[in-house]
Amino acid sequence: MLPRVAVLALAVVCAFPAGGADRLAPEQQRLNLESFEHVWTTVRDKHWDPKLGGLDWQAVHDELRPQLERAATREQARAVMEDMLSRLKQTHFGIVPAEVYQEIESGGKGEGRTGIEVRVVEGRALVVSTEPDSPAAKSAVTPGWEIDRVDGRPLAASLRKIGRNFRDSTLHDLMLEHAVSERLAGDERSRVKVSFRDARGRSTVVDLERARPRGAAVTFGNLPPMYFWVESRKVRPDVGYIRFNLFFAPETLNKAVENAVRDCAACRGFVIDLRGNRGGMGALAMGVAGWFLDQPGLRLGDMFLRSGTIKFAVFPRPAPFRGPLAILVDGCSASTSEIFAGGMQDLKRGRVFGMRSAGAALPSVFERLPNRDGFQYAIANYVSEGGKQLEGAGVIPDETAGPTRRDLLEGRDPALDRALAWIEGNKN
Amino acid sequence: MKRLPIRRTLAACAVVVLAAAGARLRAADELPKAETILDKSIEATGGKAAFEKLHNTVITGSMELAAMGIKGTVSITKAEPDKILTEIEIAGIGSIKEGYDGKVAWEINPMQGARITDGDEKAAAKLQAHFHEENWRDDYKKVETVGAETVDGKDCYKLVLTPNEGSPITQFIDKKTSLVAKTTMTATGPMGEVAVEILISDYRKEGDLLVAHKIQRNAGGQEIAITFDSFKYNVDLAKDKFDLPDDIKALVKK
Repeated sequence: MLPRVAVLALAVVCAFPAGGADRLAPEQQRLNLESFEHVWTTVRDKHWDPKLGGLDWQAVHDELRPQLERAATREQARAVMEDMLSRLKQTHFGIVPAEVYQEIESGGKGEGRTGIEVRVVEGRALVVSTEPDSPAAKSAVTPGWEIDRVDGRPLAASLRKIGRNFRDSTLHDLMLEHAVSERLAGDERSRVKVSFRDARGRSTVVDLERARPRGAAVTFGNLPPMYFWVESRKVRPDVGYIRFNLFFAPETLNKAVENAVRDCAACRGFVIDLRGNRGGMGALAMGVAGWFLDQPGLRLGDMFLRSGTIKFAVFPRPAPFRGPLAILVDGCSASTSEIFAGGMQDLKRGRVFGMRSAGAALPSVFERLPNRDGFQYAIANYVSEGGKQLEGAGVIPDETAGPTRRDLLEGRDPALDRALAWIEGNKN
Repeated sequence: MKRLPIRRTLAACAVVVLAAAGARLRAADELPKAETILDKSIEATGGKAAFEKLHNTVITGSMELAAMGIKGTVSITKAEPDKILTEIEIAGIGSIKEGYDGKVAWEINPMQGARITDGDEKAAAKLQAHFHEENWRDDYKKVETVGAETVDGKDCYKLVLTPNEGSPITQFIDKKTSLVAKTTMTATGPMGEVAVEILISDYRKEGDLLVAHKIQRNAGGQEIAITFDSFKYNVDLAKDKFDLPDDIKALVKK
């Protein structure tokens, strides 16, 4: 399982095409053709379903190859390859522009963050929290404030456009959130002027110096460096709580879960907050689940590869937490988060609170194409233990609860509140 | 030496399978006996006497999953009669360990934690742990030559080896050099069954033995290349080298 952060960033970037399309040199044309063939062949040979759901892949090739040969610009060539992949009607298949891929891969550029965690609620970009010690926290940016403009550019029109585009997609919330977060991001130490509407509706402009993202930089294979953090505490004296932004850094994450579980051995309940968690390494879903399941032989779901099926078997840890477990998700919980939440829900080991997740659960691989573009493709399908296809459907919470602007301004967290009420009411 | 289960589950295919088996038997009549091929293979890699001089080995190298840009290091320590410890360090994941101490087969990985392996997994660990592989007769209840195939341009005998425990392995041994060129099997565990193909190459002399320096493991759509660059024999190993880690001991007690 690979995180979708970079992909989504790129998807948003691609939605706003850059100007200055270069006409193709013969060498570039050759590389594009080679890339086209590589993408087509990879899907033919590596897609988990050799029949591609009945799609006539050869016909797709024969239809699009002439278009690629006629492509006059790199953007046109890329669009043809994207068209080819779109015929699969599956996420985790995409072409990433070389220049963007390169920038992400090399890191160091655009990593600066304001520390604002944002969600778009009813078309409005709202601050849901500020990261500890972040520029936003230091400037007293407050949950519930609405972001109007970033560096003078109004958000509303863009959000409407993206919202329309993803109206019927489970990716809706994720894409909107990403559009705003990307605008807030930039080079470390660069400045960004963010216009907010505060609790009273007054406009206030805050000049923020972007800082290093929260957490520790982690790298894994060809993926760009990512920042991983994990926090745990007791939300009530008898309720444990853990939140982490990615399923990465296995040793750190598992140690944190282990410590949280051990500190909470006598707790009445436990909350795992996966809101905004984009996923990461699929196997970590099983690893984390092992701290909350005491019965061997259970699994979260099955991953179907061309060469076989991998069962997401959970190996119980020596002293797992056995009390009520609440799992929080929202539209920005993706991939491994969904595998974990969906599987635990199916096993009836966890009750899920929040909003429907992003429905983007397929594991994928990034490769460089001969033309230097990036190529992402999924190598497997995933079905949760209860037989649910999470892709395009997401995890449906047992109790739906999302914050309104008023909730945020008044310091309420409806999903967490519902989870705590459930734990309180649970007689164990 | 690995495993490959041969399943014949479809009754409808029975006639075809039997016909194929008949053809195979006829072909097998003309092929050397598996015992002879395996003995020649041991001779080709140094001979029984060279193997018998060894009491332990430490092999180290690197691994790469090129498609994903994942790199790591590998260390395999084996000691007679049947102990093994494999340690893999992968950037971004951490330390993965697998072992067999003569009784307990286990695995610890940073993703899923510690677990004791059993069934086919344990059988595979046990087979790998058997130090004196020149005594292959101790490991297999049945070996047979089932045909001939080309592997990477090399004409090979195709053997099916059925271990005392666990599923069969198919092995391809170069007719000319008697060196193992490929092994296929189905790896079975709690996470399911995965077809595994291991290509073995770059045989070079290390001490008195001719050993493979390159292995390519293809499984589950992923290709892992392993290159061994150091072979040490009869090393002064720490006494507790193969002791069960504490996390495994805790599971054994459970």
